[in-house]
Amino acid sequence: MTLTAIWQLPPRVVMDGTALSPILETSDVGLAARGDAQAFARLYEDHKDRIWALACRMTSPDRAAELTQDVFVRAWQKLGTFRGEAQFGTWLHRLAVNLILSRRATFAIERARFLDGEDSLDHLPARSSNSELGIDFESAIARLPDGARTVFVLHDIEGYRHEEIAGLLGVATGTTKAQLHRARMLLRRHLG
Amino acid sequence: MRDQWTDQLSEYVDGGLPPSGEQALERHLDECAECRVALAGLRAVKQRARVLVGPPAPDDLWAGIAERIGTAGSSSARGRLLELPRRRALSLRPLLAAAAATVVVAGAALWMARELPRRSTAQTSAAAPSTNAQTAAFDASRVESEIAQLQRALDRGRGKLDPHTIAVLEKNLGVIRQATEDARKALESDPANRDLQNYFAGTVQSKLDLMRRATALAGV
Repeated sequence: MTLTAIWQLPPRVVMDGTALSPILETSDVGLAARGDAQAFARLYEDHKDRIWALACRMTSPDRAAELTQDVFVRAWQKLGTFRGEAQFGTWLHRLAVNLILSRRATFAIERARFLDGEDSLDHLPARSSNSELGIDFESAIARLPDGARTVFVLHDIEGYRHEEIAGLLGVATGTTKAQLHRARMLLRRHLG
Repeated sequence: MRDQWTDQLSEYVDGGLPPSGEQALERHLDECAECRVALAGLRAVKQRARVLVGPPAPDDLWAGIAERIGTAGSSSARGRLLELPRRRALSLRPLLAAAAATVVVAGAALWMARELPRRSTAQTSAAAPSTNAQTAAFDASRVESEIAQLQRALDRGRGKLDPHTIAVLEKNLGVIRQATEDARKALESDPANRDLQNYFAGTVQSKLDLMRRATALAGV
């Protein structure tokens, strides 16, 4: 390999933190990017609940364990591409959303019963005590139709914009807006 | 309930309607109690979602992750990491260590070469076809040119890389430069020693290769 060719290699490889900012270099992200499994375990502790909740809400609790593990394994494999332009949590979350959406296609058949899910929402008690409100609300979200649930989770819970969601799902923003409205209209019954 | 007004309520909650549409909807809301109730419900859902606390992750997930990334039960995650096909993280330090080790070996070889009995020279002289051919095996000027290129690359990297990294790379470059000079002098005093020629050609080239890789990985 000629000198010129070596110089033209993309400098993306993270080695000893030189491709990361000085702050990242000493952070758990920088350490994990250099292969420090303990640092990666600390990152896992910091972010596991959010990824787990995302996986639960976008699929189901019985799928969430496998998906959460897949997300962190993928993050470990791709951490060398993280350059610090965004917060690590944002980067990880986007990675998780992409992975979950790609896997959801294989889960779709199992959730077919929810595609006409307005009826399934009717099987839930409209509202119980305040202490159970969160659980009821989570249950109601879980029973939303797939499309409406996905958009609701990403927009109202995770804070994504319609343009971002439309891009992730490969649909028009008009579709995501309609799905969000549908989800909210269904869920409002569970808030009394 | 699905009509032109209710379908706009969510977008209204999110502030996504154009001013004209917003004003028209607000006029309708003044007259429609049903839509006002629906609007209140939609706002409540949005507010609830914003403060929703998710279920905590179970405690038994990490073990599976650690196993899959090859760190379970091992304090040396690094070695296994490099075995993963999709992970491309590499360390500069081993490269520099290798370069330094090569230099040390080269220095030892140089010392040995200077101490070699003259009969070694005589043996190799008999087999050497010509001085020009030996010079082609170790071209000091070409090596110095490559060192200069590496130095310019490091100069470009100033301000982008950690000063410590630059210092380490420059130190190794200096060692290579010195080794090259020593090799050149050794070959001047023993130009017919083909083994020495080949050895320095291979050794200096390998050091330069390591330095190229190191600087390339450093992104300069």
